Amino acid sequence: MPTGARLIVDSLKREGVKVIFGIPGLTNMPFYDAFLEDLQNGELRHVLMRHEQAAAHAADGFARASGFPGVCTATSGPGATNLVTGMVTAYWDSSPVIAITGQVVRPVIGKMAFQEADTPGIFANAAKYVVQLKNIMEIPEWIKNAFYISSTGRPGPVVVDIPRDVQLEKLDDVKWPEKPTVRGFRPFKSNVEPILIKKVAEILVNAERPVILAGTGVIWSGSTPEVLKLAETLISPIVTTLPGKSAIPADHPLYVGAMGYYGRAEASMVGLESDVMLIVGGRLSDRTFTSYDEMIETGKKFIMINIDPTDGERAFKVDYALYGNAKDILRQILEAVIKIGAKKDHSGWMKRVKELKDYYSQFYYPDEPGKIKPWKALKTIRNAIPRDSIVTTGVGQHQMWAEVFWEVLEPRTFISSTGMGTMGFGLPAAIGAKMARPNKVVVDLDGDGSFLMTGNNLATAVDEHIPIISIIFDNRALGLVRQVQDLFQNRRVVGVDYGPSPDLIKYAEAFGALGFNADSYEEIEKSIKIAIKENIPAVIRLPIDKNELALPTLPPGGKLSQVIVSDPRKGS
Amino acid sequence: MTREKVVKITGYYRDPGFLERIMGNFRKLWVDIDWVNARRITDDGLYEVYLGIKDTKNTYLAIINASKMVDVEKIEVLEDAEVTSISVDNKGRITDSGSMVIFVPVYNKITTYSWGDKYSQDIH
Repeated sequence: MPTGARLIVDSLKREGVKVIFGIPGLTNMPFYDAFLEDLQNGELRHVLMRHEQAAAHAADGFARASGFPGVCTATSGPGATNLVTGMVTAYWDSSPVIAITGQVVRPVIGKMAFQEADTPGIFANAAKYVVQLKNIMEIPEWIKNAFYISSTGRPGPVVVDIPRDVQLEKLDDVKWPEKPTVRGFRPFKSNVEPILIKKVAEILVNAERPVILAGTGVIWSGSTPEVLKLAETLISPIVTTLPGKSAIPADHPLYVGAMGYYGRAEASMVGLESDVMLIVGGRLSDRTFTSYDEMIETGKKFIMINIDPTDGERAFKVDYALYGNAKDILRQILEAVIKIGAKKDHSGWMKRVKELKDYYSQFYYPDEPGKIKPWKALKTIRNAIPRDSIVTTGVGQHQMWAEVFWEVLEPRTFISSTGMGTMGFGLPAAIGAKMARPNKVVVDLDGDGSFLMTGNNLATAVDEHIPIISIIFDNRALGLVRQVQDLFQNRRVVGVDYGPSPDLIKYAEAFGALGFNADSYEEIEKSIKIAIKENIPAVIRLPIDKNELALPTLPPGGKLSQVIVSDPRKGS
Repeated sequence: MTREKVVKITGYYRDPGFLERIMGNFRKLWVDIDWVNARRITDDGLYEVYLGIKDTKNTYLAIINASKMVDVEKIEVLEDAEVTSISVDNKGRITDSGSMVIFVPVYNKITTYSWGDKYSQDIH
């Protein structure tokens, strides 16, 4: 007669789960006890993280690298509350994560019991859905439902909170659900009809200056080939959101870059100057369109393809909204475009795109002897790792440098906390990505401030033999905040500068990882090659001048047209 | 004075968190709620929740967000509803100054939002 805990394990296995990231405690201990044999026989792998936030990020990294929901677990009370940042990060970036949280036994719920937290109340607005199970019969149904909710429509995180005594109950007649049974939930309907496809195709064909803006939805729908084919057919430039970078190979001739707050200026300008923008799988965040008025004032036509029908009305009403699976819709549009035939000569538009690229490139690549320049460091790293390597980032200046300079060459190989901007994301997300794709080189591009927020999980990487490489742009400061204070708050730099602690090399070595101090581009390349060869976790520290800026940028609240591309402290 | 909009949300109650999340949906967008009537209408937990909400620049977004909330079947906007009040005393009698006041919307058109669907219906 299986226990509730055993049913959780079997339900997860039925959904295809192979890896669980987590930390045990009193109330999820029955769950751990139930999967001991599954670990021993290799059917499951548990990764013992050093903080629950990192467990959620690792599950998130796993999901984004694999396309399959990532699973994490935590005990009740502080374990569950520690998950919050990780879950809300996954929520904002549309990533499917399932959290199994233990809860105190039913008789004491709500009575300020030891390690009790109101998990359903806490996650009600920090996850796509949260459910607290009331008896053992609900376990198979709700684990299945959790996966369904998490991966249907806009993907997102789901919490299943299970009291300890429910995990210890026994059930002799288990009913395994064949399909999910969530009342008041269903996939979004598609509104795509031939007449709408034809209309959109005509607009695209007749556009003078079309542009395709690719977002996260391109990754989740697997529609990179369709976006590229449509762009090639229309001869249209492609720009992306920051997370959308992971969808489009940077070496494609029509790719311009990520547009937005810290995006490539030429990409933002192409976005502004276009007369028709086809938005695929993007939600028009305030990071991409920093001023909705500015976009509307261009008078361009907006066409949106999105799984979520409400996104076309979130920021402003788009002209043509097509709801459904982006891959299917793009194929239909492509077919219609080919049928109509190309009418407009876009050579003038492409010439303008090239002019913008050439113009802004003069600002991007300054070199200073004796100093590591971020753009050149990223180029060195790119050349030192395989094309299909996965890169995660922390949050801060290094992330913005990665937005501008990192060349993503294959889909699902760039993973970053872009919606929530969660510092500490990079290392645990890299651990998760490596578990999802063990044969790929996984590199965490990080900052010293961001890395140290979850850096203790280096112990997990070492203990669990998960060979990831953290490359830390170390400027001994919270650089992005410092930059804003420096440029826009009258140089009133406050609360952002770190001292010499810790020595990141010794820090890495204390965990049993390799530590490198790479103070030249040659050392960067050499360190990466050793780390890959040794196949154990490594930390490579790059000393960065704390006055180095993340450019392009905007003044706070600024419009894309107000982009700053050169150091304003140096005058015009 | 900010105008009021009347909406009716139909969805499945699992625990009181259902009502909390509905309120949270409006709270997050700073849409104030003037009054609420909620009740279970079927044995399997289907609820209807009537709300009088302030009509602000965020109200429409709050409505479409509610239309895709897990557990919610649909949200109906009772267009141009006039709200009348009925006062009931402790014996259940309608009086001028009862202890309980019930708000009753009067309307002749409904616009329904449900998981990406939107449709209108005239009520005569």
